Amino acid sequence: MKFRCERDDLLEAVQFASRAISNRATLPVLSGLRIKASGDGHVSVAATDLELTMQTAFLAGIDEPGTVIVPGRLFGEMTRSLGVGQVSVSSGDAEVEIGSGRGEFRVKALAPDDYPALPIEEREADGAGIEISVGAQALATALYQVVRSASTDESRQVLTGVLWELEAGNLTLAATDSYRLAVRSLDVEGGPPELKKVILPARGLSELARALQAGASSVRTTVKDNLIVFGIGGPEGAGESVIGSRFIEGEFPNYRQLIPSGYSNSLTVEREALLEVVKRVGLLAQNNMPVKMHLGSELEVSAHTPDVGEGQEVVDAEYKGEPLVIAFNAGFFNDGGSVIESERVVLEAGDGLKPAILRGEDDVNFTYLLMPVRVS
Amino acid sequence: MSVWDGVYESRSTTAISKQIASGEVPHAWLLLGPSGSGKRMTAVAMAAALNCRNQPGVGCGECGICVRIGRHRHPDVHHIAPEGPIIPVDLIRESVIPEASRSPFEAERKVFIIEEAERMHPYAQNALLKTLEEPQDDTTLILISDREEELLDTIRSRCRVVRLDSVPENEIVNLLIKEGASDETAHLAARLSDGDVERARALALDEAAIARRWLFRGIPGRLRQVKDAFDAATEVIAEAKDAVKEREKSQKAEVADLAGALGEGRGTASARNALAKRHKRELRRLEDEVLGDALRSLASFYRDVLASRHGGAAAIANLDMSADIQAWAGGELTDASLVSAVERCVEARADLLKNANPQLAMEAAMVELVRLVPAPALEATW
Repeated sequence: MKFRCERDDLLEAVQFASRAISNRATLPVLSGLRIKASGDGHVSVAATDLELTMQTAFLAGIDEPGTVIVPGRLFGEMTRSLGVGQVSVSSGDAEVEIGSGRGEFRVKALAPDDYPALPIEEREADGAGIEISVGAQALATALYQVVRSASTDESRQVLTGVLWELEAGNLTLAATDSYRLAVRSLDVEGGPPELKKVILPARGLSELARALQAGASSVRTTVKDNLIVFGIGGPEGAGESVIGSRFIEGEFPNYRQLIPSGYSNSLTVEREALLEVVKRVGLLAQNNMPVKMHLGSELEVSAHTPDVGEGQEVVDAEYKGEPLVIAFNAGFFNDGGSVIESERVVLEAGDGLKPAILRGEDDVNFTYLLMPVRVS
Repeated sequence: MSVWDGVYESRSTTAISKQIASGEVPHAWLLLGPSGSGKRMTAVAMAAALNCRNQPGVGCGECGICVRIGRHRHPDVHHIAPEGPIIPVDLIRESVIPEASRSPFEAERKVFIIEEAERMHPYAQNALLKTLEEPQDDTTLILISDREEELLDTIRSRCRVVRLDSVPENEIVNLLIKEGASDETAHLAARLSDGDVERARALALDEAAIARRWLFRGIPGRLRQVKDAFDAATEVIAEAKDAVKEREKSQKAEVADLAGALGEGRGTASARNALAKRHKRELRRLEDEVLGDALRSLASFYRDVLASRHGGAAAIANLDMSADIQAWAGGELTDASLVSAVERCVEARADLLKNANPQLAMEAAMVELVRLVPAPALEATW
C-alpha cells in the first residue's frame, strides 16, 4: 500500500476514527487503525471497539492500493507531529512508513489477518435494511435529551441502552433506568411501513451525538439485522463518515403504558429559575434526601438533611389543581429539566406517589417521567 | 479439510458435529472429560462450525473466519479462562453478560467458551445462570470442565452435557511422532500424560518441561534424611521461580507492545493495570502448575512401585525408570506407606490450590515422604 495526501486530511481522519479505539480492547489488534487505500482514489481509516465502529474517508493520490493496520495512538501522534503539507504513507512487510519532506518514521504494523471484518462496509453491498434520513442537529439534541436516562446497572442490559422506534416519518427514542424515563420523538424522512424497534448501547450514542455536533447537516441511518449505521455529512461517497453500532438484544419494557394520559394538577414555571432553585436547595438534600416541592399558587422548594441543614426557596408559578406536596431526587429532576428546550416547563402530577411528568410548554415531542420519592 | 481435523474423533465428538450440522443447536453445552481429552479444541471447532460461511454447520477450517476462530482472534467467539485460581464474578459480569446481550459483531452467532468452568466462583456461577437459561437466540455457551462435581447443579441442568474420553495412548504416540518426537520419547510422554495430549506434547517436545521432569524424577531416590527433603523442596521451588522468570520476560514484551499501541498518556492506565493484574495471576498460576507437576511426578513414581510389586509392571507410567521401580518394589517399604505417600502428594497439591504457602507446603510434603518412603540405600542405576 502506498499513497500521498495532505497531512490535515490524514490527521482529521485518524482523529475521527481513533475515537472508537478503546483502552479495554479485547483483541490486541483492536488497538490499531485500519487504513485502506482503494483503487478509486479514496483512503479510508477505521477503528472499532466492537461496540462502536467509526470510519471516514478522504481523497488521496494512491500509488498502490492495499490495507494496513497501524498502532492507533502512536500513528495518530506521529501524524500530528509531522508538519503541515504533503505526507506519504507506505507499508512494507510488517512495517508502515510515514514521511513528510525531511522526517520519516517507521513503525511496526499489526497483523492484518487478525482484524475483524467490519460489517458497516456491507451496507452498500447488500442494500437490505431500513433507511431513514434525519436532521443532524435535531438528532444530536434528541440524543442529549434521552441518553442520560439510560441505566448504568449492567445487570439489566436492555436498560443500559436507548430504544429506537422507527416508523414511516417518525423516530421515537426512549431510555429509562426505572427511576425516570425520557421519551423524544422527531420527524424523519423515510422509515419502514411497520414499526421497527432496536436498542442501541447508550455509551456509543454519546459518541454519535458528539460527532453530529461537529457540523453535519443530515444523517443517513440504516438499520440492518445486527447493526445500525449512521452516515454523516459530506457528499455521498467522498468524505462521508460512518458510525456503526451493535444492538442490545432483548425486549425493552413497554414504556408507553407507564406514561399517564394526563393529570389534573399542572404547574407552569420559568425553566431557568426552576433549575437554579432546585440546584441551590438541592445542596441541602444530601445522603439521598429528596427536595420537596409544595405545589400551589407559587412553588416552594425545600430540603432538609439531618445533621447537615435545611433550606427553602420560592419561585413564581402558575398552578391549576389541588395543593400538593411531592418530592424528587434533585439530580434526576434537573437531568430532565435541563434538557427541555422550551423557556417554560410544565410539571404535571397526580399525587405524591404517582410518577410526575416534566415537559416543555407547548412541546409534545419530549416527555420526562420521574418517580417521586416517598416522604412521610 | 475441516475444523474437526485436529479433534480426536470419538463417539461423543461425532455426536456433537452431527448435531451442529443439523442446525438444531442447544444454547448451552457442558463438555466434560479428563484434562487433555480435547475439550478446548472441540469447543473451538464447534464455534467455527457454527460460524463458517463456506461450509455452514461443518467449518471449512481454511477461510478467514475459521482461521481467526482457531487463533482466538474472532470478535464474536469469546474465551473466558481463569487467570488465577478462580474465575471471579466480575469477569462474568464484564466479559459475558454484556456481550451476550449484544448482537454479534460480524458473525451469525456469538459463542462463549468458558474454560475450567468449575473454577467459577459460586457467585460467578450464579451470575451466569440467567444468561445460561435464556440466552438470546444467536448465542451459544460452551462450558468446559474436568471436575463437574464442583459445578452447581443449576448450571449442569441447564446444559447439554457431553463427555469426552481421554485420548488413547497409541493415538497420542502417533501424534507425537508426527510432530517430531522420537519413538521412545513419544511412548514415555504418552504414558506419563495420562491421556492428556497437551501434557504429552510438553513432555515430549518442550525443553523446559523435559528438563523439569528430569529434576522431578530424581527426587524419590534422594529422599533419605530430613535434610534431603529440604534440599529437594528448595530445588522444586527454584524451578518454579525460574519458570516464572521466563514468563515474566514474555510479559515484558507484551507490556511494551501495549504501550506502543496505546501510548502511555492519560486514560491508558486502566488498560495497563488490567494487563498487570492478568500477568500477576498468570504467574501465580504457572507457579502452581510447576509445583503441581512435581507432586504429580512423585505420586506417579510411588504408584508405579505399588503396581510393579503387585504384578502390574505393564501399567507403570515412568517407563524410563523401570529398574528403579523394580528395585523399590523388591525393597522393604510397606504397601501402606507407599499408599500414604501417594495420598500425601495429592493432599499437597490440593493445599497449593487453596493458596497454601508454596515453600511450606512443599517442605511439609517432602519431610513426610522421607518418613514414609525413605529411599532404599542402593545406588541409582541411572
